[in-house]
Amino acid sequence: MKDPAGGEDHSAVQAMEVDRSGSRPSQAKPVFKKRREKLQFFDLPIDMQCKILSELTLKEVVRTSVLSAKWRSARTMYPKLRFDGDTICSGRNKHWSKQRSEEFVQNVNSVLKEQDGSFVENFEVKIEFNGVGYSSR
Amino acid sequence: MAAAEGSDGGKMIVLISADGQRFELPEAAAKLSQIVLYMIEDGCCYPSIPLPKVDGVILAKIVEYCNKHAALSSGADGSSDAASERSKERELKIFDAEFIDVDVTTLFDVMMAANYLNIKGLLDLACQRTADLIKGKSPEQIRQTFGIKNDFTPEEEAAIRKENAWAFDNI
Repeated sequence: MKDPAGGEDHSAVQAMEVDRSGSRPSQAKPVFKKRREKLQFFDLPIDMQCKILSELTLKEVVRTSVLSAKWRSARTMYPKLRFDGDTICSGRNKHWSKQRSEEFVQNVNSVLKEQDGSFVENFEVKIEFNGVGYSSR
Repeated sequence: MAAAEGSDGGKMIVLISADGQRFELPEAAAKLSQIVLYMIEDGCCYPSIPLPKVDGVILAKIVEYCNKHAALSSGADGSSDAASERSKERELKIFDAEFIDVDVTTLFDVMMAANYLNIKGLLDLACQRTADLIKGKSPEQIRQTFGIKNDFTPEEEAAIRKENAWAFDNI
């Protein structure tokens, strides 16, 4: 009785180990291959991905989150968080109003929710305060 | 004339691509690559510099870029008046725009090679071009350009659009 049980335990541990290593496929992809292989955006080094994203506006970067799951997470690499009432509030809330403030806060929050802060270099908020332009860096 | 000298008497540098192709270019052009510049300074550039990470097709592009930029860099032909500087700048701008107007695969390969060879101007140009391919485009256009597979369900995609509705205003 003991032996088979022990054997089972042992094989269970082995199975777990195999499973654990199997669930972690190697992420390291050689960037250059002997034959030209189609590189994708996410094959580029992180600093180059960052550099490209930093050429875009916040609006353009947020739009890319709909491309694919990978692109959705790429948003966290965007280094410039600049919230300007004129760009992040919709046309129907062009002028200062309670609705505009609420929409602004809601949109800022939805962007910040996707951020972990590790790449942020720049943080800027610009919105009218009771109808008067106000900005803070 | 010695083998290592170009038609104008300047030194020539030979680069060898991953697939064994030979590219000969003036030292001034080769020096635009920080890596090659260090090799020249260290005297380890003769008889040739092997670049096992760069394919011949891409190295041909890189050499074209370096030749043009070295030939049109300020003071290359001895003239230094403001008018000729401006016209050279204009010519380079036009050259850059045509040079980088390539398919995405080539664009990324050029970018990786520029990164490896440390050619800052070319790296900046390729990154800017990639950003320009995203700017002002609809998600479907961007997916098509970069060959991105949409792995969201229609419901998931709609939810992301709804949550970020402000960013999808005019698209």
